[in-house]
Amino acid sequence: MPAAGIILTISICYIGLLFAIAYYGDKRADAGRSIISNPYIYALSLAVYCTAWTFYGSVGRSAQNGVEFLTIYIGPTLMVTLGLLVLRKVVRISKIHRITSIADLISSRYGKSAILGSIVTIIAVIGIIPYISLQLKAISTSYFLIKQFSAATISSDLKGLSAFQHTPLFVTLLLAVFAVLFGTRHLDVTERHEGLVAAIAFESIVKLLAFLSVGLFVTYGLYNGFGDLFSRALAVPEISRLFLIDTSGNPYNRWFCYIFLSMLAILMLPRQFQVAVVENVNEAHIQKAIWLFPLYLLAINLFVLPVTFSGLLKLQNVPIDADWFVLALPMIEKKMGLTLIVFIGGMSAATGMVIVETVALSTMICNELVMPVLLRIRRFQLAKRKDMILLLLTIRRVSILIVLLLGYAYFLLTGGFYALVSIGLVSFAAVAQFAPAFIGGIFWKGGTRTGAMAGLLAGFSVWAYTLVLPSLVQAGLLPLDWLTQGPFGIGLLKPFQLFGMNSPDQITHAVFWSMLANVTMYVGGSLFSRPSLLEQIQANLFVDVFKHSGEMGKSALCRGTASVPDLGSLLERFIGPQKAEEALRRYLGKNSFPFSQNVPADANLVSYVETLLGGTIGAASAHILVTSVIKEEPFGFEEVLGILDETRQVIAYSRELEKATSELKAANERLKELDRLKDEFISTITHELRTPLTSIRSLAEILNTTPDLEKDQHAYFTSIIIKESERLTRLIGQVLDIEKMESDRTEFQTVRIDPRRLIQDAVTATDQLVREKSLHLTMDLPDHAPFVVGDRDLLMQVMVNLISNAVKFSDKAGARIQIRLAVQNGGLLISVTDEGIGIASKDQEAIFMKFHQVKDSIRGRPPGSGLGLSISKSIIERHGGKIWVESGEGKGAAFSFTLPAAD
Amino acid sequence: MAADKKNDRLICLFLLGMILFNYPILSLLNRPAMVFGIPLLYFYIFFIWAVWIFFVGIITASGTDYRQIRNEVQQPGTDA
Repeated sequence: MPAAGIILTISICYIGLLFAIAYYGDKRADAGRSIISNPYIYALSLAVYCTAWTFYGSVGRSAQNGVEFLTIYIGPTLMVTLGLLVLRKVVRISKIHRITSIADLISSRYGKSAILGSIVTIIAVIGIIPYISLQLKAISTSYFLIKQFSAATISSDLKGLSAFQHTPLFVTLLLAVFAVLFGTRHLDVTERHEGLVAAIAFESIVKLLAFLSVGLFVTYGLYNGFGDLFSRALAVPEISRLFLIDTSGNPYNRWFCYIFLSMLAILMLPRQFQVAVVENVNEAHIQKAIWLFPLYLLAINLFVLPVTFSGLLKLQNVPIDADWFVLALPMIEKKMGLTLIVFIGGMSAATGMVIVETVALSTMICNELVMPVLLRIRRFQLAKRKDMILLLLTIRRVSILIVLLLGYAYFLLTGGFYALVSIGLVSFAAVAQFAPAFIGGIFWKGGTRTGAMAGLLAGFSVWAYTLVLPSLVQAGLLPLDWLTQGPFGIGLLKPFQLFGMNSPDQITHAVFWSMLANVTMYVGGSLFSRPSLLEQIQANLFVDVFKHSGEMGKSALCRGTASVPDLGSLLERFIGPQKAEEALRRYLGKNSFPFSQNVPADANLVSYVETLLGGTIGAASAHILVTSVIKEEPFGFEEVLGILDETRQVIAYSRELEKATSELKAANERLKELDRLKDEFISTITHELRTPLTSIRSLAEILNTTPDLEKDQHAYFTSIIIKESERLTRLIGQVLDIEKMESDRTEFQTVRIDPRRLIQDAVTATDQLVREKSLHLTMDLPDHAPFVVGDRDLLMQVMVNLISNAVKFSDKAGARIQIRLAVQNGGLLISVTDEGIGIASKDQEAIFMKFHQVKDSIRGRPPGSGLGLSISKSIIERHGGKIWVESGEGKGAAFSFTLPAAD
Repeated sequence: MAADKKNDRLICLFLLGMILFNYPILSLLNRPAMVFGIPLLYFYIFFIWAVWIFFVGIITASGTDYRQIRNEVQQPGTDA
């Protein structure tokens, strides 16, 4: 028989193990070798969603209506598919703006509003307290149950036991100690608790394994598998009715409502926000988590129904609530080991939730509730306090204790009344009120602070009225006929039947009305109010976060001056001197400012420090603090955003916009021009290709259809075909050359070339052409010329091109062509001069462009493709030289190019 | 873009899930029958659930590797 002592020892050991894991996790994080930076740990940490509600309450609920309990898990499963859309955006926003909690996000989004942050915090605390008390109830009850291990019969009716009142208090205090130890050992600028996450991941594994163990034991140990178990259940009508959804009383409304609620809860619950967003190490983990997490949910729910039916079958005569079947079944079968495992699993589930939830809540309370108040009470002179860290940690520890004690108080008041699941759903409905402001905030720029406040207050009021009020009535604090006849006799305002809506389920009814009120007031309030400049800036930064990634909120709030040391000492007080100096050095180093005294801090640095601080104390408080450092006096928001500031900022903003617009316009023009040139090029090429092809085709047709053509006609046509084909081949070759040249893909040989030999070879190659037109070519070469380095074939191509052009455009027989080679500073100058028709000055630049040929009214288009000079230009420029022409119409032309000498 | 495609598929899967897990599809399967010795409704829900998760896994496994996102976001001060 497990004495109380043994149970306690095992529990403490287990918690000790968790703490050791957390400690190790933190140590590794500090050393920079994080153990939690992988998607599996991330997904497991999300499983903190499964609390004692899952572990014990699911069985309890399913004993009443079958599969309905699954809605709480289907919701998150569906929601995480939107994870890539919603969660990724939220994580990105939170990293950039150093969001510390859900209240911080909402407050920051709507203009860093401290009021909004406080409202969200208060709603969160009030909403979560029932949920916490649920965990306390679970731990206490399971403890008392397990003590009855060897008793003849087990009872879960513990109201009579006096010790039952006190043990939970002990549990509460113990949990407070653990939460403080896990979550508030030090202040982290990013508000992350790596050790905590490691411990949570571990306990997720523990509770899964515990539940699977008892599930397997029941299904295969007590029975022969699923089939056996279900067929026995089938035999008992009261049990088999659970196979189906009970179609009386609009179950599908409830079904949908619970799915809807849990979909929201997976993000809005403070603990979920903490592990999913704040503790997220790497956005990439989200990708795996969106199917790993639902898989976990599936696994942990697999054996719920078998356990339920088994309990209903075996424990008919035992006065025990269905909530506790999980523990009772191994107890009845006298399996001590398994019982302990189950107990640890349930305790694990409960403590995990409590620790993370209270840490998250304490952060919110400290940053959004306490700090803004303290900052404004001038007596505290917070801006001048030396060491803030201890103060912050103390505030958080006290908050944890208070929240837990409130949970205990709630448990005392109502613990006996409700089944576990109902309590949990009330909390879900409370945090669901954050959804419109939250989701609207990250997708809709039109959401304003006024709208958010209106929505939150409206939704919360309706929630309180329809869900909390009744329990106060049942606790006897309010008259009963408020429920039956409405307050002050107003029938339409009956808490369970607002405006006459008859819904059999309290929760669905409450959710409908509260969400309706919330969304209406949020949208209406936003549409009918004007946001301040700060709100608009935040709205842009949040909704367009993927466009702004990497930028901070650019100096939009520059006002006043502070010196770097001032900001430094402010930082010091909150994150310690070492980290402050590190951070500043990093920033200044990146922007290459000298790290010296009394350098005035520019707006960017101010913004940076403010964001850094915000990571510790929340955006709203950081804003107040930084403002006070600059102005040496605590300030209100309205004063800071004076008219002058607004104008200055708007002007600066629009100037930047103008610059960006004109840059874009210029780029667009360039692109359009390039596009036009490309089209021209293509149309010219196709034309050039088609012309010879047409001649070839028609001549070939003639040859084909006139077999008795005269012999010399035949020969003539054939020679034209050959010439045109050669022309076509040359053209295509040139186009390819140009293309290769432009895309730099030519195999560029680099050899040493003797320019005199090069010229002589080119002359030899073109000898035939020169003699055909009876022209007179001379060379003027020095005796010695330095070598050049380059591609011999390409340079040959240039020489041949120039010479053949000179030949082409010389019109008088006996005209001279002169090739001159001169050595000039560091390079060579080669020129080819002819006495031909010359080139008008207006064409002298254009001839080097693709396909350009000087059209002459008399002589028409010259033969050739028009690409030769363009190719030559590319070649010369690739060799590091220049090419140009000197000419006058009718006065011949001198083409010259330079080449650098080889050294 | 690959990311958009993935998002679209996930949204479709989400909508499909909403339909499959709610009235009226659910009401169609709310009848007394057994599949492999398991009540029809239970079998349906768990089976669809598993299949659905499987599809999510497939959709997210392909496509953009978000690992490079880490480098996109510059974080002043401590590194993420």
